[in-house]
Amino acid sequence: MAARAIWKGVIHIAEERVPVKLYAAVSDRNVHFRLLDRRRHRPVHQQMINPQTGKSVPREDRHKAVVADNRDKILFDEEELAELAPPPSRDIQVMHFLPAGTIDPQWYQRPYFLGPDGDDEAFDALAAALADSGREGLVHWVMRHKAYVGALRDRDGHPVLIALRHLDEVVDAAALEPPGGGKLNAGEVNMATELVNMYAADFEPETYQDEYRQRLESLVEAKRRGKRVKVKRRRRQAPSDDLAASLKASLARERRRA
Amino acid sequence: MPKHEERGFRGPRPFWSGTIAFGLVNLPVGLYPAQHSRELSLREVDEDGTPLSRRFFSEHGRKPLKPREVVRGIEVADDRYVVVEEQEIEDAALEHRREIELSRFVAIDELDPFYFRRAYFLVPDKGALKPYRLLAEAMERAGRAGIATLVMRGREALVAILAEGGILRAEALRFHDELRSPESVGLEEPEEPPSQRERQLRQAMERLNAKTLDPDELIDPHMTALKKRVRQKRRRHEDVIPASQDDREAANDEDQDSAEVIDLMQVLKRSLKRGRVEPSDDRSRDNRSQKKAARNGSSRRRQSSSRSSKSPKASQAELSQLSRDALYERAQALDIPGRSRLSKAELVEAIQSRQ
Repeated sequence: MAARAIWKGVIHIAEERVPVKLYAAVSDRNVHFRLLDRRRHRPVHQQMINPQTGKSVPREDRHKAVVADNRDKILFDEEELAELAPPPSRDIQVMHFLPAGTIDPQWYQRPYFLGPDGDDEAFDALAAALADSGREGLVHWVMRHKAYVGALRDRDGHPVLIALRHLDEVVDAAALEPPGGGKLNAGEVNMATELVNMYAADFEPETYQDEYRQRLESLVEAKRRGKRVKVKRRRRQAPSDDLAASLKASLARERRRA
Repeated sequence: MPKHEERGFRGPRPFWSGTIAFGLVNLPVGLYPAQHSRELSLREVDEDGTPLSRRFFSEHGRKPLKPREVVRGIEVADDRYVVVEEQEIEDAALEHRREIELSRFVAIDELDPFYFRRAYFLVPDKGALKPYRLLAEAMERAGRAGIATLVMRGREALVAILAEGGILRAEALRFHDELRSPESVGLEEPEEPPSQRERQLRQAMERLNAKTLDPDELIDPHMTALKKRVRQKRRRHEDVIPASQDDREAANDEDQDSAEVIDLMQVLKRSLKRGRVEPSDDRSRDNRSQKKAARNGSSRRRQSSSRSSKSPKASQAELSQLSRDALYERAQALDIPGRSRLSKAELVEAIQSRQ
């Protein structure tokens, strides 16, 4: 069954325009429970209360506030916040095209598929150009009052958009220094590299299952009829002290297996 | 502070700690989030500036329901619900496993970015610096990333472990069935475009070519505007509700604590350099927070004993440094009702009162 587009926009690449539709590439598979009132088994509803008085505060008396370091509160009302929000727009503005891999995966947040919106030729041209370019576009857009930054790229012949995290949301890896110390033993590095290569495998994400979710799902199923489920434990290993010996033994073990 | 070095230092605790098994080599590590909270967040307050809390009410009830009066349930028929007890959900959680078996290494360019969900830095425990460096070096040389699973808060997570510049990072991946395919969305293969259109587009793209990512492009203009407005209001004393005396003292206390409680960045810097040490002086830390709690007249911490095995306690300062997503995961582990609807600040509050 075809999914519905979540948004429509127009990609601007210099003076070129490509109208597109956005489709969510991630589907929420989590088990969602309702919150119930234990006595009546009815859904609860929520209210904002003042924790000091215990009284609920009606919407018209509520404000949004930024709490400063010294605990001063700076109040905002809805209109004011709305004014600060980026102005609505349908533009997906490409800022730059970067060599593929320039945008570190650390920034990746949420993927979307793109589809044509009216102008199929423009869309097909975009798909072909992206697939050939070996580049990804850094784009800006505004969707539902939020400013997004994203990567526009090719995925197996389909143009896709990956929403990225903003600068203030990511720890700056460049400011971190890797563990230092004396020069690593060349023999050990070779053995370790050899071991990595012996463990070479294909990326097969379909072979992994979310067991917890499956157990929750079966719990929910059991509940619909009326039943129960059970659990165990393990412990922590000490660091290996004789690295060379461990690596050698690991290699030997893998060779035997091969 | 040499004393600290021996005992480890206070700061955000690792999100997960355990051992990487690489062949027969064991590498104990801690995972720290590579993402943190936004610079500013908004809280709901009343007209006097008192931060509000979210509470649940029954259909006609006038008093907020106590946590034990709220329960999770599923709808079995129209408007008919069956209760699911916390214990039953906990039983569905996976056996905690403190091991990451690293025995599949895939070529870096084979990884599909659609799977990437969230990143964590891997930090070696003290005494594990050498195997850490060795593994990072070997992976970079081989151009491969490790694929493994680990159990985080009762839930199995699929991770890709990448080595970059001598630092290991775990990228939590989505499960295959969480991703749609173009076909399932109803998208057809793009067709061969008219060559004229394609050429035009290619030329337009070339005009925008750049070599490196300018970090300024990643700035959120909304956040910038909000920050600017906050500064302006404070300067003009406009819509500012000054903190009460109590609040100010509490803020001061926290500042004094934070002289010792170091931030995520510092923890990462220090741990990468010297290896992470599990803090051993938990008692003094707890004493202090209890003292503080007593002064604030709060006894919420009591509940903690029964679940202390699950995750270490975190102070408000520590929690505030986490992203909403990270907080959400903790809230999930603590089974906090209604967590998906809570703001960041509310999550911090709820987690503190539950741990």
